[in-house]
Amino acid sequence: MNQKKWHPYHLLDKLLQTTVILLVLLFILYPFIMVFKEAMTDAGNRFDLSEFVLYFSSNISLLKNSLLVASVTMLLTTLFSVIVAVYHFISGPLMKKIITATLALTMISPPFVTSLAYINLFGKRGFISHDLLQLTYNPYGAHGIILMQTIGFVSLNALLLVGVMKKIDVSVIESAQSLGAKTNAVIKDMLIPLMKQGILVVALLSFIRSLADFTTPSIIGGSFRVLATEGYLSIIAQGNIKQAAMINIIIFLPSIAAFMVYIRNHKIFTSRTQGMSFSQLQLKRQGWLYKVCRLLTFFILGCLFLQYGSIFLTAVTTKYRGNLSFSLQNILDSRPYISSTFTRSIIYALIAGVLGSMLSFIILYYSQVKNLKWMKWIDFIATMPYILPGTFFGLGYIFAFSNEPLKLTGTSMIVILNVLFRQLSFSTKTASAALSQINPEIFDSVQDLGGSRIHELKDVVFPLSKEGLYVSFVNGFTSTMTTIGSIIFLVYPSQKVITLVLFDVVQSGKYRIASAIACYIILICLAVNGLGYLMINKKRGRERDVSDSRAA
Amino acid sequence: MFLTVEQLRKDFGSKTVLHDINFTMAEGELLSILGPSGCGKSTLLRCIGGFESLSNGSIKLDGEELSSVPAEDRPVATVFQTYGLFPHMTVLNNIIYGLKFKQVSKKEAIERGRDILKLLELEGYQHKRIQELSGGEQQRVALGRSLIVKPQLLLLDEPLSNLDERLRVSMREEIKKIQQKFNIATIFVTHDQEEAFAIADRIILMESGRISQMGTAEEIYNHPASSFSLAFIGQSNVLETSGCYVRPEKIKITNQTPVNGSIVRKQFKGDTIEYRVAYEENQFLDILVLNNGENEFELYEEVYIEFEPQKIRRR
Repeated sequence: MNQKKWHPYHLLDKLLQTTVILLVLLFILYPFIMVFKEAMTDAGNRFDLSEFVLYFSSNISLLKNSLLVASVTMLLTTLFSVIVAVYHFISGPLMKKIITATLALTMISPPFVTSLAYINLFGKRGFISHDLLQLTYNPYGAHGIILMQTIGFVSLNALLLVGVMKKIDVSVIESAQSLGAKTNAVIKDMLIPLMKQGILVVALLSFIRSLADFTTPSIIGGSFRVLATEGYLSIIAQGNIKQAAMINIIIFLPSIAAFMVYIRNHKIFTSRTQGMSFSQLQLKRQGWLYKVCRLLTFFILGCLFLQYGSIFLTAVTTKYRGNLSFSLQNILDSRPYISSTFTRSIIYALIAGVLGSMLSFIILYYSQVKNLKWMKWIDFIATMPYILPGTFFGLGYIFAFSNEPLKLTGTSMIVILNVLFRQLSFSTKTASAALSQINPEIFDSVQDLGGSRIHELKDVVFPLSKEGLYVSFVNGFTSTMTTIGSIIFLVYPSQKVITLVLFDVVQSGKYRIASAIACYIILICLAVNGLGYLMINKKRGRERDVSDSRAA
Repeated sequence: MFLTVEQLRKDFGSKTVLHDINFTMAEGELLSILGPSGCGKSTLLRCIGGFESLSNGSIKLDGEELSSVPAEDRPVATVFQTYGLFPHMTVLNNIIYGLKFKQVSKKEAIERGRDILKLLELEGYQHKRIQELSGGEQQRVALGRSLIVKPQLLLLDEPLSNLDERLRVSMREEIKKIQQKFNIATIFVTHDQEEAFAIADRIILMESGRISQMGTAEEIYNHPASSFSLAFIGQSNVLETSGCYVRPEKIKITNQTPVNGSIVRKQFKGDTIEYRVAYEENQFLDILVLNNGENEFELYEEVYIEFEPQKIRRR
């Protein structure tokens, strides 16, 4: 019975596997290795760390600055995100919606928008510091970076923790209550210990994100220099690509530890939540811990509202002789900056979103459903960009694809490939969660009825994962629309995308035009996210109708 | 009465899931709330435990009104269906957690915790993690954790449903033993009639948010008060002509003449044999007899059956 019938679908299956493996190796692993090769070899391709040692012995203060900022940012942003997540857990359904909506809104904008708002509000000509309070406050420096990164990272971190807490078995909390635990004790003894893993991951992610962030320090760092900015300037200002590689490796090192922790714990973010049916947790909103959480959550939400409010306000007003008036001038002025980039960015984001989401489902189908050992490694490699500094990944592309036969630099292709493969690390998580929801016996049935793996993909995976596919498409789209680090070295002036334009405009101090452009990006992402939300909810609504009618 | 529930109503949105629930309970009693899934039995338990607010009515325990007291201040302890054990704590820390709020010193707490572990035959388990325990052991830890705070009322929500058949039987005996030893008023929610019959002093039978019947197992089985009680509890034959019923084991079957029925199905069950007999027009009766060597018949054999039709006595 060992005689396998030759079938075109088996060939197609093998072809698909090989393609996926080659793509991931070529566009993730290869560029990754190239950065190390470039930084650690001399002109004759011999292993040589002397330049490494030389550079860092003379720039030890840069490393110190970076570590200082990253540590403080990590502490603050973790503290705040735990607080927001705890308050979210205890608050009622309406407040829950307000919090998640605010956090989600601030997720879908370019990272340095926070700094833009900060300058609008507290800069030398800032709305609050200068106009309202008549202060000459200097917002630039380490405190500015820490503040901005903290506010900027809180949204993602808090959302991750909210997701972790959704998985807490409600009967654990109710048991504690039943044994006499009041709100304070529930927070201290249950909620915080139960999200410990999540807190750890969030802290490490914040640390490496802060370390890798070059946009915030370059906008409001002032004379305070950090590694990430130097790495960026090495290329942009000095054209010293080797130095950039060395700096990026240093930034990457702490990420390895973070990555290990993340790999071990990422399941806490992806496994499905437990349904709570109609009951709402009856946790009294009292106790000093709860009050502290409420106060600080409102503070954070206030900051976020202020931030986006000020950007919107700045976009549609002008200041003439100290008077603020409504005007479309900024929008008109922004037109030359965005004329061609806007459509291009959307097209890039659409391509990256669609292909990235499909590719990740195919990888996860082979690695998770079919349990293929090879694919497990591919899945692992695909997760790496999650913690790689964006500039690291971009730099790798320069090293990997600037020579024949793989010369891609200067093309649109390299930009799209870069964003596509970088976001695989997010979309594979969505795919993993979605695929674990499919009953494995469905796949066995396809096989039993004579279908091949291609049929399983085509007839089971894709149709049954529409929601997951859409979620990962939306995430891919948004991250492409807001990403900057990984593509900043790859994009040629003729193919600029909108985040880069925004970054340039902010750096050249045209804050009003920058605000208008930031609004466009936010609105586009909001539209795509909102559409996704509506589609998914409509589908869920229909499912609920069905189950209701069955129950009745 | 020790516990008095009066005119309790619970709405979820516009949907009423509990209608006008009234019952009382004596000290030391083990009361079982029995009903099919979705009948509201768990919601009723959650109302008593303080995890759902009431839409109307009152719950009095030992004369004290409970309905506005939050769960953590009620002298009531709940063991949940999934146990709700604290996964980040050891067995001992799970057991003594409730003592934290009773002004008991840590030393004293550990001592009492050890005693409970001994009682539950979990000695040597104190430093284990919850994840290392079997289902039955987890069940006992959950029980011990609730008992240690000496609640006036213990609530058990389908506590045995996550255990396998054999363990279920031995655990329910254990629960009964512990309940009697502590002499603690206990409400036990289950969908399993056998379970309720085996341990409950009294049973509340629920159907779609209402109490269908209350009484001892004998009362409910022998005198069902509604067609729901009849259908849900045990097997029965409903007589087409009169609307009366008869339980399968209450029908006498012999080979005396004149015959009045014939066997159309025979199922050998081991300790018992079940026959289906064609009797009168359009009337089939299921009959259960002990496999004791007497009264064994073959398929299609003509037989004589005798029984006394029972009426549902509505109240």
